[in-house]
Amino acid sequence: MKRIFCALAAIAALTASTVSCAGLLDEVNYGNPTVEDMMSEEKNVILLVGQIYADLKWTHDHWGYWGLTTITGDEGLCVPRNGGNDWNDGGYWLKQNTHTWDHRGDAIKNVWNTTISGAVLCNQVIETLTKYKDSMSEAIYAQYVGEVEVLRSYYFYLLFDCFGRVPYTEKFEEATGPLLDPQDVWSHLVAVLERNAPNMAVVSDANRAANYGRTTQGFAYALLARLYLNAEGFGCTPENVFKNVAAPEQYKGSFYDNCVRCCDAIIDAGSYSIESDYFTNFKIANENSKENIFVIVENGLSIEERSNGSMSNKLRIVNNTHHYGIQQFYGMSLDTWNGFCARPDFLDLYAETDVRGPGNEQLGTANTKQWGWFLGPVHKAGSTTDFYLDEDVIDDENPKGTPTVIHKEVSSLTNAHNFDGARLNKWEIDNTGKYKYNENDFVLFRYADVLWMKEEAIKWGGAGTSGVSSADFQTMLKRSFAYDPNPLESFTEAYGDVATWTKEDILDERGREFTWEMVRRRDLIRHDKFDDIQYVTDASAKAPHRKWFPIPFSILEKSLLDENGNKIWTQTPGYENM
Amino acid sequence: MGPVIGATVLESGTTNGASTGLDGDYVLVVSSSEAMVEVSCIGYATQTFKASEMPAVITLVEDSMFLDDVVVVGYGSQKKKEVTGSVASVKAEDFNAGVKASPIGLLQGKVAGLNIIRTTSDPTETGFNVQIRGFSTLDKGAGTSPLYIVDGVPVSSIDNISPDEIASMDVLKDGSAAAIYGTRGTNGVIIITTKRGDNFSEIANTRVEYSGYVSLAMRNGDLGMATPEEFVDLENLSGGAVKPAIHTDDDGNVQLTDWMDELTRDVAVTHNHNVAIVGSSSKFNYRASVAYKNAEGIAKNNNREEIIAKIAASQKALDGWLELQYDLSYMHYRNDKFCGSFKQAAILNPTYPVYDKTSPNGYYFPQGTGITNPVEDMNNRESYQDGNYFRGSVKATVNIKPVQGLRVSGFAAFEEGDNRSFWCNGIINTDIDGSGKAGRGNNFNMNKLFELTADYARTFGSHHIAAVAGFSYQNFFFDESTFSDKGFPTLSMKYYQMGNGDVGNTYKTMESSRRSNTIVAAFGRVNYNYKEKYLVSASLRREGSSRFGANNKWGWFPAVSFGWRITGEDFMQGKDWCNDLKLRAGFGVTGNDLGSDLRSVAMLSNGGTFWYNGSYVTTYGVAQNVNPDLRWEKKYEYNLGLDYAFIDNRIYGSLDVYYRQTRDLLWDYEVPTPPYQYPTLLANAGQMDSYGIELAISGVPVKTDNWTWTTTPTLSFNRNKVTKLSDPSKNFNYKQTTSGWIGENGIMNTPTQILVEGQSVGQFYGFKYVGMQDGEWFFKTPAGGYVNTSTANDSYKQIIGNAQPWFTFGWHNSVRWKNLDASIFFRGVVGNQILNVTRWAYGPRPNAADNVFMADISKKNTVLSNKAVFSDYYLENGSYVKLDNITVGYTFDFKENSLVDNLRIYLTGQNLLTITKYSGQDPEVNTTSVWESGIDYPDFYPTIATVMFGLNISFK
Repeated sequence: MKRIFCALAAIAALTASTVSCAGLLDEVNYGNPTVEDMMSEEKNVILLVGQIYADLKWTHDHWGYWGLTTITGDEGLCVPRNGGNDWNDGGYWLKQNTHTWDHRGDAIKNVWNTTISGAVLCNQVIETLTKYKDSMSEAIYAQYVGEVEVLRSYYFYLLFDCFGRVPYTEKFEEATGPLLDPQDVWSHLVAVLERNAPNMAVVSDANRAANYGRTTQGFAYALLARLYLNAEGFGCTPENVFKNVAAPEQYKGSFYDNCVRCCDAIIDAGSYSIESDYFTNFKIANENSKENIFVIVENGLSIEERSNGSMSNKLRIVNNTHHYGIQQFYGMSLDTWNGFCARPDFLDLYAETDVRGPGNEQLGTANTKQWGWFLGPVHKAGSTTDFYLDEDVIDDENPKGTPTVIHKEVSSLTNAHNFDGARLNKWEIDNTGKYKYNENDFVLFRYADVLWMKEEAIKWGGAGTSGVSSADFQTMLKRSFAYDPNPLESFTEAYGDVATWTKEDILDERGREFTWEMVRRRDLIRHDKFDDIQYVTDASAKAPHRKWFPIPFSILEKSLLDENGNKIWTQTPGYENM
Repeated sequence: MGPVIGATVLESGTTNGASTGLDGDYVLVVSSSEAMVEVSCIGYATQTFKASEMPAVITLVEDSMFLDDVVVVGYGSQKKKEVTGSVASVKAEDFNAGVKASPIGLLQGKVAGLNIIRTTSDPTETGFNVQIRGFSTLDKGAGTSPLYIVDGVPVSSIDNISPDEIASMDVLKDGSAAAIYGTRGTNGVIIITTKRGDNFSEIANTRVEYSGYVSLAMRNGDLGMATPEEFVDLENLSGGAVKPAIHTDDDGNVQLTDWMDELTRDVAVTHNHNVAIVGSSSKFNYRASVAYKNAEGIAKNNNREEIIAKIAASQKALDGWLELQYDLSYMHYRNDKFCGSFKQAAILNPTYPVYDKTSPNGYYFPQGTGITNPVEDMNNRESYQDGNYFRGSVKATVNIKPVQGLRVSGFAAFEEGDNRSFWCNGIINTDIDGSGKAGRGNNFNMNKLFELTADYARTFGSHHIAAVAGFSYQNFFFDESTFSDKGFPTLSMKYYQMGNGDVGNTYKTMESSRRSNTIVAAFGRVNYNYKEKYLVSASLRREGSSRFGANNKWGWFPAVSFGWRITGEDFMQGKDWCNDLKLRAGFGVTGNDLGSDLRSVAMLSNGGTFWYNGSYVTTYGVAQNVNPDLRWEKKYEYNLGLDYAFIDNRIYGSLDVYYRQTRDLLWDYEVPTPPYQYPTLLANAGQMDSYGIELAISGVPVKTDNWTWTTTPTLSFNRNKVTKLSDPSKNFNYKQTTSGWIGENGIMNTPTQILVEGQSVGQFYGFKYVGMQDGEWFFKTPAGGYVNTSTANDSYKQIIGNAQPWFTFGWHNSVRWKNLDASIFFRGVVGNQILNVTRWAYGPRPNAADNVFMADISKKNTVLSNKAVFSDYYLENGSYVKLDNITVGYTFDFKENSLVDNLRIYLTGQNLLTITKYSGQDPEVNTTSVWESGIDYPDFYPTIATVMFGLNISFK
């Protein structure tokens, strides 16, 4: 019997040993390329670098940065409709509308995760580029590293703009320390941008297409100008910045001087010009705009659609805002959701014939001209006389539903009518049914913003010469009243002479010009008016800490611990800790 | 009692044997008068005589305990009395009656601790969730399904087997039994043995069997929404609180549409036929069968058709040295999918018409976000799958005759599946993007298995030893491709001519991928017993899987178990009331494989397109945080069992108590960002404990010549606890997470459950409801006070219920009177809560544009849904008792020389009655998922009640 056991044991041992020496258990990856594969040829390096832009697409979602910042400024509102069925979302929007948000909202978590994902990816790409430096020319290496570093600054800027205290890092897979204070984050961002800006690609007509949708010198200076202009709003003082970071050589102390310098750098380069038609910048085919400094390049087809919880990487602003009937009227591919609208008071900023405003409020879908906001009737498909009947309100007079007429008033913050609130209309609607999502490239920086930042910085005390008399500036004023016979006079009549404007006048104009372009909240904070808007009434809603959003609960929850077992990431004072 | 036909008479230790004939006669020439002769027959105790002392008439003694029944365990089989692990064996005659979309339905409610939930009546879906002994994984990355072994082959699907062809299903429940399957043993193992030819027999015989049925199904139960008549009367029914949006046509008439009726058949017919020829001779036996089934879904356009052909053959050769066993099986199926939505039908305004002449395609175009016309979807979308499965295996066993009891076997198996899918859309008013799209896809999977085993069994006096050792290699391969396009010149091109889509190629999608994984293992087991009284079994498996991280490819999986047959002891002799008593104890370590490939390596995948120099290019990025330390989950399980039989075997069964602990739980751990790029990392850190009791009792209260009544209740308790979620040494620093996320009709992604260290899975977490007043909800605070909706915040949330039942039970009864038989089977759960999402999301509100859930309609002092926050108001008692099936059958008598061997006809009613307080459609909701346990979503497929008529006949 012993012999048999020995035999069995021998068989077992034999089989076990054959197994362990064979490479049977290596995973086969079937064509998924490795980093080595991609980096071995210079022409493929861009395929690795290009992915850094992918995470930007979460930015313009209503569950991301765009939704979070738009809805909390005076320009946006989101109310439950359709008998409370739509846009209720457990009271989430109500809290945003009234500035009573807490640290558990979805959007703050999304903003954190998606911008960090982009920033860490940038660090990872820089590490990879450095590792494979030998497989590309020195110039290409420097160009790519600069491009990636500048975009990393933008990702961190988005995070910083929301939370102030962020885990800023320039190394991949480096264990993070405590959250940096806002002024230190600001210093890091400025230092990296100032270091890179002079070496970035300068856009010209010859290379405009090649640099479309990528970071350039114009992008770097525009972001710097914004950081300088808002420095005080971010809690920076000339004294508290650059304590822990070496000041870049260009920096000379005054935030506003620096803002003007950065704006002038863009203006002097001559890369951009103001489009004579305001709406050129928002068309489906807006890639020819010479005014747009940086856009997220959109593909409106449903292919490559990705989602992240409720978020999509596709632009859906047009579908978000418009009434249900708009889809049928224009034959849009995707349904419209009757979502975001304007806070009613915001519409008061617009003079009657300002093309960026609601224009002729009586025509609605019968309008032949485009206006910046949509008010008025929604007609049935194929008609300019028959109204879309909305069964939201049925009464004896209208047994089949009420004729839909969008008006600017909002009847309730908890149960609004389907036709309440003005809808943004500056983004061109695709009436061919070709694109499921919005094909219009989403603008992050426009030359018009640069021109206005410069003017405003001067008003804040920055050293510089006003550019109001420049041709581009005059075009910008004129196009706002493009449907009037004498646009410039109409502008002055409506809003006064620009030469005599105060910085508050500029704030109003920026509201009209850049509505829903992710600058309004920051503008209001800069002017200390963020808590002074319609529907924000609660004392706690007006508390100063609300200039920042709370660090999301789920982010605090998974914080690393210090040696005493305490979380190294802590809540912003004023907000509930856990 | 008459003569026993087909009993086996065998010279011990040889293959020299015979079967008894029609008169119970046999002829056996033995080697010597000293030879031992075994007489055996299924259902009777085996007896052994010395050849010279053979009685002229041998009276077989009925063995109702089936102590000598063969129980299939991993890599072998044991007699029931020798089993020391927790193994339940269910034979074909005990399977559930009725129509089953998957063979696993045959076991529902039959095995204590085997929790099977029917999730849908759609015949194109498997329709069951299966879980053994509760949760042992957090279901993130790790597999949740038991390992299925079909005739020795670990397979990924058992839906390609005809239920008529299954001889037995054996469930290895505890760690000591399942450890021989290593990294795949944690979720338990279900071993399916299909029918083969009869035992080798000197007298060649053949038999033809037919079994078939026709069944009729009708809808049974509804979601609880208003009927069209109730909807128009809502204002009245709600005391004025709810005003329905009543749609009128151009002439001012109100049309009532019962959307559910529009989508369903009045009666869905299923028919099933299985014909087999079975035969055996002294050296060859076989069984060949063809099964056909066509099952209509209760939804229109919903159908499953399948045909399965199968051959099993065995041959003895080389003078007893070699035995060959062949198994070949082939299936073709077609699934016609239902493309409408029952949820839409349930919530859509019943005053909307189905058709509208003015719309582009003649269907009414409903308004509102995400609302569609389900009849339009059902009729204008088409989707079907078809495919083939093949499984073939050969096993060669060499009897090493010089060493008595030693055999060496080689086993090779090959499995292949080809699936195709086709879909196309006509014009859909609410989905312009999807209109005119068509697509098709192929996938191909292959499973190759090679095993070499040696086994040895011998008795030395009172010592009995059985050992097996072997080596196993298994490789799984998967390849798929899909493509779609739109813009075809005519809709009639469907998916036939995919090349003719949009010229600009803007809508074209084309994807393909391939993957594979490999498992290799060496294993061994030794069973020893002394006088069948003291039993011990020990096994060990060394296994490696390609899916795990480079640092953790290999693992050891040991197990040991003991048995003590107390009835074998001297002090039990003469205690006639006790027929059998066996105590079992076992311990085993099992693993849980990753459910997916390539999770531990940095791999570049499509990172989205990037606009580069005027055109889109595809970028590549790392799509996940990388964890090279990824490994299997390890489960340590202790089992204590008792098998018993008392009072002339009139009461028998088993009792098992277990404790299991899963360590290194796989989970998508939330990690800080930065340093990580993505917010989660698949890693091993947590720990989960569970324990339970399983009780199976069979009783035979009545047993006379004409009457037999057998009653079998089974009962199982399971408790679990997540003991650890965090692991500070790995920086996973948190103690709880939320689950049960609901996003539905104005409810924004709201968590309803909490997973906390120290608590079980499935804890509902929210406000505690106390009442409503003046349109406000009032909730109880943990401190005992009250708050209304506007002041309630997260700190007032508490644990308000649990989705896991207190216990689960099944109760089978069969009664036989002469040739008439009847059986009735109940099953149910007690003590769990169900979250009725429909009640929460579609409750009454002031303006009812959509249909309304009716149970709360008369609560007129409040507006339920305006501030419908989650509270235990929406949790309902989920206990139920179901009359699963009831059967009446009659077996005809035939003369011995008749060509008909056997004929039985029967009538079965299935799912006829459910006793519950639950207000939704069906309280049988998924309780096997960590993430959505006990949640009843508004997405549903109607439940059905079935009546079937069946016939089994065999000819000789």
